[in-house]
Amino acid sequence: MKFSGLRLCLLSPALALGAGPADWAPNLTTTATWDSNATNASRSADTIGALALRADVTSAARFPFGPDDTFFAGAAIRAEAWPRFDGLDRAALGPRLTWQHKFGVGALAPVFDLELAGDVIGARESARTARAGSVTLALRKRFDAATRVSLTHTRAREDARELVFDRTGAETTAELVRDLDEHWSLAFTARWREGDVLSYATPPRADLVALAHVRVPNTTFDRPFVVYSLEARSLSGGLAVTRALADTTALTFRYDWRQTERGPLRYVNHLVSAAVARQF
Amino acid sequence: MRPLALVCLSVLAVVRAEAAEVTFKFTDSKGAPIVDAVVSLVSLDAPPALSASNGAKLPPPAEPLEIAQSGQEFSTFVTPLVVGTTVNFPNADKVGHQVYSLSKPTKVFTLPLYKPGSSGTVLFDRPGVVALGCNIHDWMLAYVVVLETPWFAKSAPNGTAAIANAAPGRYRAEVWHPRLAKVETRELTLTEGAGAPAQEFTLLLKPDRRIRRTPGSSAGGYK
Repeated sequence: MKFSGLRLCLLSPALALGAGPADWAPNLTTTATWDSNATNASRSADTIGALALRADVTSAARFPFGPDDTFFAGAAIRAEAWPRFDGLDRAALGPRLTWQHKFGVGALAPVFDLELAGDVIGARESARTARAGSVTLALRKRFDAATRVSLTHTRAREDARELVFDRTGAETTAELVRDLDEHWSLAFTARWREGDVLSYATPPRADLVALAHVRVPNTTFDRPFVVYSLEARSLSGGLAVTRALADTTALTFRYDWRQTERGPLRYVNHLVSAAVARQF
Repeated sequence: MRPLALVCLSVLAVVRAEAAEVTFKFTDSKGAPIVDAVVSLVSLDAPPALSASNGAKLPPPAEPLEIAQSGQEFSTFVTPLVVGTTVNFPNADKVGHQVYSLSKPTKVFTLPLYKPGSSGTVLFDRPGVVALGCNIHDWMLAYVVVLETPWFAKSAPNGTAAIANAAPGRYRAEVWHPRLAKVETRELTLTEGAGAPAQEFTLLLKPDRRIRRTPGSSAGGYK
């Protein structure tokens, strides 16, 4: 009943203007990612690489407002499995509300998005269950049929059952995508993030104790680690190659290099992934 | 007699005078057939009434043409028509569409976003090439070629096209294709009964630079 009332409030402006849901087109993305440093460890002895499998499903209905503005109401489901360390397995479900403004007509007109997201996150390790929310501002611009850029800023907050797994951060992403031909495209991505990170290390680590605002013993990685929650800066660069398999299906291979720093703490992640995206 | 009636009569008179046929074959530099090439004949010695640029008007078709949206694509990629033709844009899809064109000066319009089962209508009243798009689905692309002559055809997938109802006389054949840098022209003469020899065109096409229809995927975000 509560949800129905909320839904009515959210959609009433659209309905009042005569708009209606014109499109529910689910997108499914399945990704396999190798993270060279899943423990976010700064010492090689604590560094553990791991494979993560992930599936994302998003779907939204479109409610147009006049010629330039559109409201999207939808939902996202995410499942994440770590075959070697199943304590990291988790699933999330939540609504997505987006206001989109297009500055003019046509494929070259810039598009601005404001997205509000919320998630309820269930995890195999109950301490990691959480509620999450985020606000994302995005500006996209296509320069020609083959070249487009996007600039995205996200502020996200995740409140977990156990304080150490809380994560709050702000991330800014710039991406340039260039279609090489009918089938292949290249994407260059740069990211800058400031916020909480989790670093796993074998104690004692006086240097991390000095930086961390919370720390607890942890055996997720089958070792007697301590997980340290601390604020840090991450800078990453990525290169992706996408092969279009059909109008609605694409295969992407991606490499990301990410460096995270906070005072004397410094660690690097190499992320290699393969993803299949399918629009239904 | 009114000028428009005179124009119509003169067109009919010319067409009735032993209409001749001419066929065309379009291939690319590798010999592959080219589909969607539009060839039109501009009379070099017919009455000036046949040319809209001289102030006269060609009679448009009585019924509007149709370019539907289906499967998030336009039903026809290239549609040649004469000046003054009305085109309906029915939405035969499962999602909404907003058809537009930014082709100055020939035709600039934006239909309101309309739901499946609805339609929009546009009058093409100036000659030229009009690129159509959908403001929702960037990859949707189609062309309307607005012509000032009643003699035109579009090449089939086998690269052939035929114009059957032209009167004997001298013409300039004009060939347009979305990937052609500029219109190709050739003069030809149609004779009574025999028409003209088959016309073969080898076109140098630019690379196909349409917006791709591919779902995006993202990975590598912070974890």
